Amino acid sequence: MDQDAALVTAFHRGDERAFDVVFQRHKRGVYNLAYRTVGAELAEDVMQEVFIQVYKSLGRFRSTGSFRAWIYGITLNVCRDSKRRHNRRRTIPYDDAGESIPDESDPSDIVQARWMYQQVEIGMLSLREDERLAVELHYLQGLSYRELSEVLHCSTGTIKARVHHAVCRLRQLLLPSIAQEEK
Amino acid sequence: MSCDKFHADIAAFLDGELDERASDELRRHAEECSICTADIRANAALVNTLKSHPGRNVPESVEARVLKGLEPLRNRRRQIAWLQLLRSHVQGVFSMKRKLIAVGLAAIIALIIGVLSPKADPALAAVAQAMSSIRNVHITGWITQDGKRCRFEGWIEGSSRMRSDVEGAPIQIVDGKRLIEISKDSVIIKSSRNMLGPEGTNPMQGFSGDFWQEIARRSKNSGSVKKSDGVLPDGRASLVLRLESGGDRTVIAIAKDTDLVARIQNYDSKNELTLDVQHVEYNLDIPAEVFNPEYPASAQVIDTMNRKIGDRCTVGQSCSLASELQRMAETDPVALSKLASNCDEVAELIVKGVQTMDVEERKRRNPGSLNSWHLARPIALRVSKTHTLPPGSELRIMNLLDPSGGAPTARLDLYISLIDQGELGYEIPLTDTVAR
Repeated sequence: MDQDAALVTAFHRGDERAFDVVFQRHKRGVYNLAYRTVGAELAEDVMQEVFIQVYKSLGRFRSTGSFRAWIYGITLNVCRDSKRRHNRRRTIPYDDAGESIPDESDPSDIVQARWMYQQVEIGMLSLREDERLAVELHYLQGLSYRELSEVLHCSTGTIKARVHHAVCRLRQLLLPSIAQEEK
Repeated sequence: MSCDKFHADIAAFLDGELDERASDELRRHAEECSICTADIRANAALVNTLKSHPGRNVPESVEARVLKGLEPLRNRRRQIAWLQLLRSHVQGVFSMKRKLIAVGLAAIIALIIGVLSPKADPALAAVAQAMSSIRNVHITGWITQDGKRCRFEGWIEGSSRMRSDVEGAPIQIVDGKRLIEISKDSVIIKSSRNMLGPEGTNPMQGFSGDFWQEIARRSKNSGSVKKSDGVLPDGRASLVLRLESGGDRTVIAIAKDTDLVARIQNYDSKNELTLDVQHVEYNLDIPAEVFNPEYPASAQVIDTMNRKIGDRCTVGQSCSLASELQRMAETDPVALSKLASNCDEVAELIVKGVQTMDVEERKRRNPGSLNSWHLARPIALRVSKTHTLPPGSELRIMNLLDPSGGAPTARLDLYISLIDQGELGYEIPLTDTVAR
């Protein structure tokens, strides 16, 4: 049994602390997905709504499916609702507020890490939405193609094609940066 | 074999998502193909970069807010868990008659609710719980002030919109923080839910779960919250709350069958304003057109206003400036034309007028009053330096609420328009907007 499934079982038994662990495990993924989908302004509201829905529905969740697919599916639904309610097509600009740069002892490494961080963020924002979601959920959140197909409601073949196109696009954008970083 | 066949498989291969047979084929091909080998290496470097990308930290304030928002749900669950535990315990230990157990349980349940939430009124805690599950609200009712009555309709969720169909002079609700869209016969207001603070008199907060948690917490120890039973217009039983603060009164009726707010009446003594929310619907989808201007005149005015004022300034009223410029337009249009051709003088005039109004009006009038809506902050409009007035043109202060050009009233917004030979649409070009 994976850790999420064990936490859900503990929650079913009435262990409230299991939810705290669920929150800590998934808050960052939910926030980042919301941030890149609806922007900073709405991400906070989306995160609030997602965890309220998760809390309310967790008692009914059965561990036959993937928990990560379930929670990210909720996140995308809430994002869609939020965008519809605010009635606008959003262009999410790159914003360096809240970016998380790994600790480096060498100042030049910090500069390099920050630069690479920004390149990836900008690269992600340049992707088509369906491709960005595939990359984000697969590479950044670690979902498998099967889990992705659950969240995005399409076949694994479609997921494979989206990931392929997104990787090709990101390669064009990021490989020069990666090559420079490796030097 | 062509590389194209393998190219599309490389990402899936590196992700471990390619089946064994296809993976073997790709491996064998790569051993003989330097292009695909380079592709695999390049993709691997990219994948490593993506997988190690840390993403954003969740701001502490966001995390705190999310956890706070979950508290009512968690408290409720804790209470239920305690009751279930107690019920099983009682049933296991005692062999009393079922009826006696039920009576005992009822008393213990009441005790436990009291112990677990010593400050909260149980009935209002149930309301807080029910209101916390609300996604959006659609309300309709009436606003009354100075004998004038406006019907309004509003949506609340993240953003709210209020529309008033005007009978008589328009009423505007102002707190200086909202985007206000004004048309000939409607006022559309968008505001963030976050702006509805606990100190405000805006009764929209009555639809917030946070508001009810606070009321539930305070109600036991506060004499200012009075409860009674009532009946809603549709015949349902209701719990009626009367909240008084200073001269303000709010009466809220809660349907007992749903624990949801069914009606709010609010009297704001400072503004002598009564707001009566008579009809409430919950958790409906907000139609897309809600936030669209409904009237062509509205769209035109908003577009003009946005272009002129820009996003950075708060749009406000400027009675004394409007009067001053209006007077000049009426009595000495030539002088005004000359002023307009000299941008610095006009800009100076406007800044001075607004600042004078801001200080003096604040002293004389009651800040925030609907009768004395004033600028939240002074603004200056800078006129293009290169502009010269066309022959025969005049400058006129327009009433935003009456684009056909009515006399200024106490609730005018500033709208400068250049009328070229009687035709609307020729405006002083504003090259910049300055917030002071």
